[in-house]
Amino acid sequence: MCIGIPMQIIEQREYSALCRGRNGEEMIETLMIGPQPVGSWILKHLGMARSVISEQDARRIDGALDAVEALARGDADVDIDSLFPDLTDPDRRPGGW
Amino acid sequence: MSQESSQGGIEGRLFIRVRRSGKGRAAVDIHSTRPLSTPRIFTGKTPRQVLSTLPLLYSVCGTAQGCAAVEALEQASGESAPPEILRARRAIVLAEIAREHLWRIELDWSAYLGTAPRKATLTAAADFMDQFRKGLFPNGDMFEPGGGRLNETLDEALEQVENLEDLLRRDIFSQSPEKWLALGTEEQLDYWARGSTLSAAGMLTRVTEEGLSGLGRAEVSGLPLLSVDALEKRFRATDAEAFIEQPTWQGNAMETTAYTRQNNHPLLLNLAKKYDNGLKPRLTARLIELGKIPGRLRSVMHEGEFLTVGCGSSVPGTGISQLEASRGRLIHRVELDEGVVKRYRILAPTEWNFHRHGVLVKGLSAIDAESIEVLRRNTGLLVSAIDPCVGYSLEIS
Repeated sequence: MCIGIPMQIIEQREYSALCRGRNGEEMIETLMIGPQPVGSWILKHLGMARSVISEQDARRIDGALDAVEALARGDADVDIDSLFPDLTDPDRRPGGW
Repeated sequence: MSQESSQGGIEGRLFIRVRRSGKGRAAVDIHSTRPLSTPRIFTGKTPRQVLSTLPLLYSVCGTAQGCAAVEALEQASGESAPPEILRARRAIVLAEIAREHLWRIELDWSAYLGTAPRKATLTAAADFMDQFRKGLFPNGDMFEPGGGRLNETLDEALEQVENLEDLLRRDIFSQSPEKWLALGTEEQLDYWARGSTLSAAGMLTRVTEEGLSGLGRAEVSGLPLLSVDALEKRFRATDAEAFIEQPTWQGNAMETTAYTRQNNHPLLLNLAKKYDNGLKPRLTARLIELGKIPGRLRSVMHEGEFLTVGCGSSVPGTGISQLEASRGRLIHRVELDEGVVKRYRILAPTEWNFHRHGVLVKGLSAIDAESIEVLRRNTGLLVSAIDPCVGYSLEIS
């Protein structure tokens, strides 16, 4: 529900950007966030970039999505902690983005 | 990859099939591949671990999700945040609702009108939300259990409320939101709409001229505030998973949208006399809710309304929170065992509104369209007005 997918911008055009993410490359509209530098990470939802995020958060979300997919596959042996290792960081601030 | 996740990817998707019967009725079938079991990844995690990932993962309404999560976890662990923190958290949820409504009006309504969305409005909505949040919680720690660090003054946040008011005046209402909210009849609304060139007004005029004001009217009750005890009982039942997937209350599908939240406004009461919960009242409800937000933000931050009604713990170690997010009621329920999550459940508004006997399906069933093309257009209009938080595919035949 309401899940966003992290994507990295590899080519910014006027109102859209070619981005790369867990499912490959995709053109994403960037109207809501404006043009961003190549290499920036964004969260995609319904084909649109909704926000700019840090690389660290992009990796955290991807890790959580890996865990979701592993559980959906019924992979009972999956080590969820290894899929989002930053959670073990006691200094990580809740909701800090 | 499972069958579920392969249809629409990990984000999930709604598949809506509408078949014309030729007698003013349509057969409607709806199927969702939304990954409702996602909260299972939080099993075994501490509240801080959950809170550091959940708002990022559910990013579409990340503030509402984060707020619901921290409140449920605080209830479960017996921790409490000071009232000013609770108010500030709920204020940023309201700010998120404003941003989402602005985005939907600018993107969906402009698309229907065949005009380009205004980039300045879209980015101004995002900037408002970011700056408002920073104005209240400069360190971004609004979901810290027990409370983060609030700004010493409300000045910066209040300045952002003024910016929002200016944005609404300039790009949505062509007048102050307060003045617009005083419209009380359909005639007044239509007169305003004809006199403005903005998307909001254009959309209402177009819907009126095309005779679509009552499109999708359906007899479905609004979801009432649910008691913590009643929800706890429902979440503990053996069919709790089925409840999350296809929720009903007292045996009935319910609606939870901006329309059900705003249907006591005089303008909506008047529109409903003629169109019930059809398209024009539904679109107008979004505008009413948006127009009220600056005033509500000032009220919430200062003390006025206290918004955590419906949150609590009826069994030790469990916590329930419910709040109004952009698309409707969001409910979180958590069960802790020795300081870690034993079970985490989220009931999102899309499950109520896109229920197989819910407001969309009933509304579509009554659509009488002369052609497949018209049926497709009308179905799209209604789906986007009710506004799922995932993508959807239409099959019209």
